[in-house]
Amino acid sequence: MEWAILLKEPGDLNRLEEFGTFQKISQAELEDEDPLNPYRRLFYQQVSKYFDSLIFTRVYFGNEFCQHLIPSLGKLRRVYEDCKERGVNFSFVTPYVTDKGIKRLRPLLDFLAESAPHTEVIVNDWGVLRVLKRNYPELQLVLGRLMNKMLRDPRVTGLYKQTAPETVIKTLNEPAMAATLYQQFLTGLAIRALEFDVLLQGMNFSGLADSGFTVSVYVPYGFVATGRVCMIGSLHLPKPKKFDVDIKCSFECQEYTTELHYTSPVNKVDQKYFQKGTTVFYTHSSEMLASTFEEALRGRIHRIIYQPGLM
Amino acid sequence: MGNGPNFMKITAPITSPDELEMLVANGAGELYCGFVPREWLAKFTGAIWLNRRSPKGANLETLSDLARLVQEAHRCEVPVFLTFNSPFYTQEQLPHVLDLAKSVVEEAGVDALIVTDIGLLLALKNLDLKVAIHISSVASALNTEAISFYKELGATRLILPRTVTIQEIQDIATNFQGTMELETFMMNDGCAFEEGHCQTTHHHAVGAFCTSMRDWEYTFYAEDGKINPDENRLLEENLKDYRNWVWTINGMGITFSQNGFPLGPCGICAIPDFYRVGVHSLKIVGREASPFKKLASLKLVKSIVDKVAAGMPEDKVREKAQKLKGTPELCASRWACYYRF
Repeated sequence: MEWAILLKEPGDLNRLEEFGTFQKISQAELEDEDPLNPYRRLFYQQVSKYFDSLIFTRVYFGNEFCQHLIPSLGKLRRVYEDCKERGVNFSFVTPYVTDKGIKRLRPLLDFLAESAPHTEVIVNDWGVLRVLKRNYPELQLVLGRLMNKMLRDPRVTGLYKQTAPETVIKTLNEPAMAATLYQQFLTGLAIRALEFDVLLQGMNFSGLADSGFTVSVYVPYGFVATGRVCMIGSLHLPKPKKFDVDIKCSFECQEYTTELHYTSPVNKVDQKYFQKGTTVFYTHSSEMLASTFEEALRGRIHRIIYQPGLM
Repeated sequence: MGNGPNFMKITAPITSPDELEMLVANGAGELYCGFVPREWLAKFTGAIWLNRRSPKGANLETLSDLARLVQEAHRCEVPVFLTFNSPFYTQEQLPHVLDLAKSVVEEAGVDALIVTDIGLLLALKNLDLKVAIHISSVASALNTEAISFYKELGATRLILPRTVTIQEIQDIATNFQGTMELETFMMNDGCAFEEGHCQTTHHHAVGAFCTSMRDWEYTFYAEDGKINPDENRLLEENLKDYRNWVWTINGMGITFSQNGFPLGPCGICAIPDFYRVGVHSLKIVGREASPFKKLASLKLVKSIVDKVAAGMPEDKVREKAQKLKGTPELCASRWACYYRF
C-alpha cells in the first residue's frame, strides 16, 4: 500500500516529513483555529491505530476541480524536480476543462512528456484523456475520482445504508467501472489505475481489485459537487457579473473557506460540509477512515491520498 | 431564409401521449421523454433512478403508452428521444437497461437514446440497435476533445452542458463543422454546479442539493485566521447573493412572468447566435413540469425562433425576446441567463 499526499504549493514539499509525523503535525495544528483541524487530527488518530508509520512516497500536484488552478509551468517544474531530488514519486492532477483549459495543460504535458516520460497524470475529463492518448502516449494515465459517478450525497447515503433493501445497497456500493465492458474499455486505453472518494454507504472494490486494477482513495474529504460557477470567486464582482462561468479569477478560494452546517430533515443527523472555490466537500468520519484502512490492509485499496487541505 | 425542415429544432419534454398534440401544434420539432416501468421501481425502489429525473411524475410508465406516443409523433414527422441518462449503471443493472433499450427501440420505435454512462454506451454499441445515440448534458463534455471522444463511441449528437459560453459553443461548432449535432439549453431549470459533477440526488425527501444549501447555517474562515468586520460583511452579502442566484436558476418558486412565461433561467437571447453557428436543437427542460409550463416555454422559444427564421437582426431579436418574456429586472440582473452577453 502506498501513501500519497496532495500538495497545493511547491513550498509544501518542505513539510513532507512533518506531514508524515503523527506527533509533530497534531501539536502544530492545535495552535490555530483552522476548521479542517478536527479532520486532520482524526486522520492521524486513525492512521496511528492501523499503521506503524506514515511515509509519503508520492506527491500529487495540480488541481481536480478548477481550470483556473492549473499550476504554472514554473511551479510544476519546481515540484517535479524537488520530488526527484527527494526520491519521491510524482503525479500530476488535472481538472475538467474547456478548450481553453486544454490549451493551458499542453505546455505542462509537453514538459512532463519530455522530462519525465512515465509520470502519472490523473485525468478527470475524457477530453484530456483523448489528448493524452494521442499526443503523450508515454505518460501514465490514471482515471480520477470525478470520473466515478457513484452517488455521494451524504444527506441520504448514510440513511440508505441503514434502511434500504440489499439490491439498492449493492447498486450504491458498486462502481460503474466494475462492469465487464467498462473494464475492457479502460484496459484498452492502458488505464490500470482508478481513483475514488470514500463513500458513506461503503464501496465494493473487490471486482476491480480482482481484475488487477490499482485502486486509490482520497481522505479525509470527498467531493459532493463541483462546477464552473464559483461562489467565492464572485466576491468582488458587481452583481450582474457574479456567478458567471467565465469570470476573471482572483483566487479568493485560496483565502476563504465556508463551513456549512446541515441537519437532515429525515433522520435529524447533523453534518458538516465545506464550500471551497467551485466545490463542496463532505468530511470522513472515524468509521469511514477505519473501514478504508481495513480495506487497504486487506489489499483492496492500493494507494491512499491524503489531502491536508481543500483545493 | 425560412423556418424549413433543416432549421433549428425545438426539443420539448413530454410525459404523456396526451401532451403530444399541444406540443407539436406549438412548435416542438423533437420530443424527449423518460420511461420507467413498474418492474424497475419494484427492484430498485425510488432510491435508484433509471434516468436523471424522478421515476414518478417525470416518466412514462408503460411501453404501450410510449409506443402510442412515438407512433403519433411520427405521424407528425416528429422524432422522439428517450433518456437513459443516469450518471452510472452497475454491471447488475446493465442487462435490465439493455432489455429496456431493445424494447423502446424495436417495439416502441424511439429515434434516439440519450446516454451518459460509458458502460451503457459500450453495451449499446455492441447491441447495434437501429437507433441514434445522443450524449446527455450529464456527461459534462465541455470541450472539443471530449465531444470527439463520444463521437468515436458512436454518438451523433451532444447535448452541451448549461455551463458553456456562447463563444465556447461557437468554437466547438466551428471545430465540428456540422459533423456532430449540437443541442443547447433554452428554458427552465438551472444547475448551480456542473450537472455531471454533482453526485447528488433530487429525491423529494431532501430536494436538490444546491437548493437545500440555501437554508444551511454557515461560518466563514480565512486562511490567515482573521476576518475583519468589513470582510465579513462582504462575505455575507456575497453568500446572500449566491443563495438568491441559486433560487433564481431553480425557477424562483416555479412562478410565471406577467406575460405568462416561466421565470427561472433561459437562453432565448442566444438563439440568433446558435442559429449563426449551426446549433441543431434548442432544449426545453422539465419533463416533470405541468403541461401549462411546457406550453408557455415552447411558445416563448418558438416565437423567437420564428423571428430569427424571418431574418430579424440579432440585436432586435434580443430586444424582442426580453420584451416578450416581460421580466426587465430579471433580464437586467443576468442571473437568469444560461448564456450571458
